[in-house]
Amino acid sequence: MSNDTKKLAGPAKDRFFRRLFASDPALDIATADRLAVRTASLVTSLRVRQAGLSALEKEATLRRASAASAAETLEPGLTQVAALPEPKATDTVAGAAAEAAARAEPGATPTAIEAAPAETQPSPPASAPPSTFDPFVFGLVPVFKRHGADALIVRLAEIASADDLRAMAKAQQIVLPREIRTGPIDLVTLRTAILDAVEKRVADRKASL
Amino acid sequence: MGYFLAVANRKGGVGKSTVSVMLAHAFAVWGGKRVLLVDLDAQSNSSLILIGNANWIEAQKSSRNIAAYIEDKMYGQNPITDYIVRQVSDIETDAGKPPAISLLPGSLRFEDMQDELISFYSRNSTPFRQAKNKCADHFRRALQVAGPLADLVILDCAPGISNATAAALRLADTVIVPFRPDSVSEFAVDKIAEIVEGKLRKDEVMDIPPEKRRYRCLANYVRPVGADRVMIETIAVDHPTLTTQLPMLPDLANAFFWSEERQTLAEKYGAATDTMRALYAELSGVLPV
Repeated sequence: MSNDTKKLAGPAKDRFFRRLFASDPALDIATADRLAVRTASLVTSLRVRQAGLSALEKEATLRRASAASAAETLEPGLTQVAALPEPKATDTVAGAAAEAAARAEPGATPTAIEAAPAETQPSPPASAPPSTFDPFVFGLVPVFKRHGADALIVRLAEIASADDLRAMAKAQQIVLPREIRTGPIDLVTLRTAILDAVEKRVADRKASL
Repeated sequence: MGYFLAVANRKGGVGKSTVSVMLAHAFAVWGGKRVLLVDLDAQSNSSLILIGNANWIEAQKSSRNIAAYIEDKMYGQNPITDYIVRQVSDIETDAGKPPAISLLPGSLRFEDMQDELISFYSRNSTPFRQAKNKCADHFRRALQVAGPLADLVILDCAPGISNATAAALRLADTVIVPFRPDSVSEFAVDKIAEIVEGKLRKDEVMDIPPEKRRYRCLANYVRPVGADRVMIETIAVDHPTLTTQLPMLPDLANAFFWSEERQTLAEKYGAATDTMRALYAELSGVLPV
C-alpha cells in the first residue's frame, strides 16, 4: 500500500470524521457532531491521504486556537459567568460558543491569533497559598458531549491559571501528555491539549465491537 | 395486570436490592399499592431485608422460593401463589397496619437451578441456542403469571445477565438501573442499556429518544463531591437519569437491618426518608402504577 495514505480505524477514524465535519463552515457544531457520529458508526475503517489528513489536523488546531483566542477576548463576560454559584447554565456556554465560533470566521482567524499573544503561566513558588479552585466547576466530558469542542474551549477560557487547568484535568481523569503536565506553558496550548485528551476519552468510549 | 418494574445492572454492588426494597416500601406505604417483590438474585439480599434470616431459612426449607417455583414449573403447573410469602417486611403504615408487600424469596440454589433448566431444555439433542431461548421463555412465562397478583411487581435482578435476568428485562415495563458514580459505571450503564433496548451498539441506543427508552438510571451512594456530580452528569448526557439521587447516608444503610418489631418508614429510614419520598414522588409521576 502506498506510503502517502494512512488507514484509520477505531478512535482515530471517529476523530477523523469529527474533524472533517467540524471543518465545514456551513455546518453548526451540533450538526457536525451528529454527522460525524452517524458516519463513524457506518464506516469500519478507511484509508485517507496523508496530506489531506495533515491539512485537516492543522486546520482543527488552528480552529481551536482561534476559538480559544476568541474566548480569551470574552474574558470579562465569562468571568461573570464563572462567578455564578452553579455553573450548570449550559445555555450560557452554547451562547458563548456561538459567539466564539462567529469570531472564528476564516477571515478573522489570523487577526485573532496575532492579536492574542500566547500567555505563559509559570508555576507558583512552593510557598504559594493553596488554591481554592474547584476542579469540578464544570464537567469536561459533559460540556464536550453536549455542546462540542468550541464550547469546551470557551469554558476552559474561564480558567486563567495553568495550575488550575491541570488540576481540573487531573481530577477528572483527563490525562495530558507528559511534557505538558508540569512547567511553564501557554494557556492556549494547554487548553487545546485538554480538549484533545477529552476527545480521545470520548472516542475511546464510543468504540464498540 | 400489575406493572413490571425490573431493577438491574450488570455490575454488582450498585444497590439493586436496596433500591428494590425502598421502592416496595414506598409504593406499598405511601402509594397504598399491592407490591410483589421477586428476588432473582441468589444472594437473596432483598429477601433477607424483607423477612430476616430465620424466615428466609424457613422459606428455603418449605420450598417457598424462586428456585423451587421455577424448578417445579418444569414438571407441572404449580401456582405461583404456593411459593409466595405474604405481608412481609418490618414496616407498618402510619395507621399501624402491615403494608401489602409480598415476596417470592430468593434462593441460593437459583444459579444451579438455571443450569438444570438449560439441561432440561437441551434433552433430545436440542441445539444449545434453542435450549437457551426456551429457557428464557420459561422464565418469562413463569414471571408473567405474577402480573395479576399485585399492582406493582418488582423484579430484583442479580448482577450479570443470566437467563432469568434476561427474561426479567424483556418482561419489564420499565427498568431502573442504579449505578455508583464511578468510571466503570459508565461502561456498565452502556451495556445494560443495550440489553434493555435489544441493541448491539450504544449508537443504536442513542438513536432512541431518551423519553422512549424503557430504562431510567438512578445514581446511588452519591457523595457531595464534584467528582460524583461530574460522573453523574457524564452518564446523564447519554442516558435518561432520574433527578433524585440517593446519597451515601448511614441511615440509608442502617434501614436494611431486619427486625421483628415493625417501624414506620420515617423511623426506619430516618434522615434518608426525604430522599426516599423524593424518589417515590418522581417515579410515581412517571410510572402508571
